[in-house]
Amino acid sequence: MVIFLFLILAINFLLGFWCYRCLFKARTLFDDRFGFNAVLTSTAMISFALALTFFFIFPDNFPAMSIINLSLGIGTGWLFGRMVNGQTLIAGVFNGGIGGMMGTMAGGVAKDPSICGLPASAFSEEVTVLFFGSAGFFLLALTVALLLFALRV
Amino acid sequence: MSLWLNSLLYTNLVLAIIVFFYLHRRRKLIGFHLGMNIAMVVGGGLAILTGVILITLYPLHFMEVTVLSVLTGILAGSIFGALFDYQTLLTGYINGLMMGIMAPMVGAAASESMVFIIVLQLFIFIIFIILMVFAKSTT
Repeated sequence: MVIFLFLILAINFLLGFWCYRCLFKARTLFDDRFGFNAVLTSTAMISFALALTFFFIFPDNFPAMSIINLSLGIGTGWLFGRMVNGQTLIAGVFNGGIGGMMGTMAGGVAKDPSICGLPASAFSEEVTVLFFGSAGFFLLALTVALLLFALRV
Repeated sequence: MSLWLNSLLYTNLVLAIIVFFYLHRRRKLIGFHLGMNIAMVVGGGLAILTGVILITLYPLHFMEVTVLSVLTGILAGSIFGALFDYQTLLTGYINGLMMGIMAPMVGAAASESMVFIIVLQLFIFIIFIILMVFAKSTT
């Protein structure tokens, strides 16, 4: 299962990097509004998927992982928001941090539903982890496809 | 109680369809700032309501409820955003997705209290009415 999770993490990272390359090539064409929307969408989803997979690989020590994921999201947001101007930098850093923290929280609840007051899940823990890892990958792929389609419309 | 919750889900569907056809007649007259706010409000509100109601109905199935509320948020945000522009579609999509991921956790933390669901339903109902009033008055 750890091999599968590392594979998902590598694919997510490559998808995010490809999205960054495609947006960076076209960055001189962006106006303020499209820059804001593109940075918000890409940053939130990429930092969410990366943080979710990263928490599944190292599930112990929740506070340290939340701090690491928050810094990862802020780094992603800074990288994407740097492309256009100041207001997209603010939106990217804020939404990247939000996405990282929400990924950590979703991973924690998916691994152990009893921290939210829910009864234990009907499925085993491995099935849940595999399902949420694949779901994060599919959502990221859908988001990147929608975002890169916006460059042609 | 489960009958009440199911009828609340059906009420939300009918409410969303009414708001959609109300906005569809006036979509050429609404500017993109109001359109962005409409997409965010409708996508996020429907996603959070569906997640809270479904996790109260089926507390054992966290996975399926998360998938259903995320799909509701994505579909509602995309459909209401597609009335105006491609960029409002993107905004509604990402807001519905984030709200849909968060919604089952909010519903689980509220520990099946009926008062919370009624207040949330009232809040969404009022904000839909505000949205329809301003969509009429700005045109």
